[in-house]
Amino acid sequence: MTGSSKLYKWVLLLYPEPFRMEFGDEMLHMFAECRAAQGSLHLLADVLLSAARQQMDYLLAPAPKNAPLYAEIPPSPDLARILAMAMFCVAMLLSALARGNSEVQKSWPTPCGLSRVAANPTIKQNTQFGSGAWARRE
Amino acid sequence: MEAKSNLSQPLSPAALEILAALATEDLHGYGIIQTVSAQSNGKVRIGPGSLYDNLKRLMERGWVRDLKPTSENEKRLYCLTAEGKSVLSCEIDRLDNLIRRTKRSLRGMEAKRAE
Repeated sequence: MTGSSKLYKWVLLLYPEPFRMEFGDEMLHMFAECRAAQGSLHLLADVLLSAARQQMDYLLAPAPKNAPLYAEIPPSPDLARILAMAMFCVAMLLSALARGNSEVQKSWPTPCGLSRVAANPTIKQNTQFGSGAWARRE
Repeated sequence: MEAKSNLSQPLSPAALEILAALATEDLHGYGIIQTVSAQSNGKVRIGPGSLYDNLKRLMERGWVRDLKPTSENEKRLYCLTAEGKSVLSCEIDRLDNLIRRTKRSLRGMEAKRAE
């Protein structure tokens, strides 16, 4: 590979990845074919300007990258998916209920004078933050 | 009969040359460059960067599509879509009208000078 071909290959790296993935190989093969007719400098200048234009286009409106792991959501709900979601919701609900009834053994002091205390009927608990909530000592 | 115009702006010179090249036959990238040079008698030279800039834009607009190669050694071909043919036809009609009007105006100017 000649020096100008190597330089051309490096310049191709300036393109946004989606563009490079789609057209990079073709552009690289075309360099050798066009060099005789158009000259290396002209081709390099052309590619530099083109890369700048594509980067501007990409910054203004980025194209979605190819995502081979993306799976299309089918138009009708899958029964297995519905059952799995239902079981997940039930598990989350049971977990929340179990944590609400459990007793917290330890408590520790805090800079604000609030302490996380065991379930104690004399202390008002703020249940907004779930079990083991921060509570103000009375 | 004029094709229905779906162009908001005239085509750029490079886009026009590329669409005109693809109007003859399906071509790969280097084939487009060679055809553009031939149809302009060597006056217009498109580099790979400009070519693929324009091809990307034309493909996004749905005027050109690519034909995936069936084997590894084959090059990817590009072809005009039906919409691309319609757009090219509109642009050719516009240029044709412009040329006829301009020729008429120039003949009128020459006639006035002769008087």
